[in-house]
Amino acid sequence: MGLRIDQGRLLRWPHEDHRVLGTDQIVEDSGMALKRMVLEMGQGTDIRGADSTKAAERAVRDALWRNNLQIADALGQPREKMDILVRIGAPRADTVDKGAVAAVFPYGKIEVICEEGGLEIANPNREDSTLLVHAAVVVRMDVPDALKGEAT
Amino acid sequence: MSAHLDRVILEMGSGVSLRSGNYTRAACRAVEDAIYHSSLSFPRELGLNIEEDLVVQVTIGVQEPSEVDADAVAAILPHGTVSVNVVNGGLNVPYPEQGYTTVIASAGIEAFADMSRFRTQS
Repeated sequence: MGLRIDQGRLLRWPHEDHRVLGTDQIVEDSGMALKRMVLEMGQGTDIRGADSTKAAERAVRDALWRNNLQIADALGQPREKMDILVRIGAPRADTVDKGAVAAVFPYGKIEVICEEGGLEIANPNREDSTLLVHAAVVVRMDVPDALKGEAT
Repeated sequence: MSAHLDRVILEMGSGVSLRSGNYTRAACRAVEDAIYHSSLSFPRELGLNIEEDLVVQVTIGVQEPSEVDADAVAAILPHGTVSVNVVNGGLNVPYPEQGYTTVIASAGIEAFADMSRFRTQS
């Protein structure tokens, strides 16, 4: 029942082992392959208070609630089977509460990765700053591998 | 067009013409706001023909639908068989003191494809 990686372009995530992304496929003996269906992107801010977690949650909401995704329905699968990889780019990424970010999602198998990014701009005449945080949400689904390359 | 098309995603966005009252420009910005916050990976992953198998329906909402150039809006969509429908909606924000109106357009973009081949249950 081992995994094999098909034409895998391995990418190293900052805090993870090797991961397979994008057009790559992990093919199991079940004949199913996990494939990327959609990338959703959003931006969130915390104007006063410089709370990276709050801005990250807003970025995820911005990414998710711009779209109404029916890919699971179209594939005849429950939405809970959506495999979701969240990549947050934020100032002080280590302070982002990954659990809080994951809690924004209404369903799915959620993994949150935070890396240093976004933007921090000092507020004039105040001790605090304004944060801008990016969220990239990769939605993957298991699809029958037998169909790979069948349609053109 | 295929016998049965599944709606795979609805993308939403809004766009503004601040001072020029240009409904087409507001509509185009709404479409860009809607489509450039996501990337549809599934057509390529599943081997679909992104031009022929993808059906794209655009709905624009503005306060003056007749002012929108639907062809200009359709030209923004990068892929698929595109149709544009302009309806009453959006929001106008009059500023009589300065003699102009800010125009806000809403955009809903639906992408359809026949996904029956890829379904794991019927």
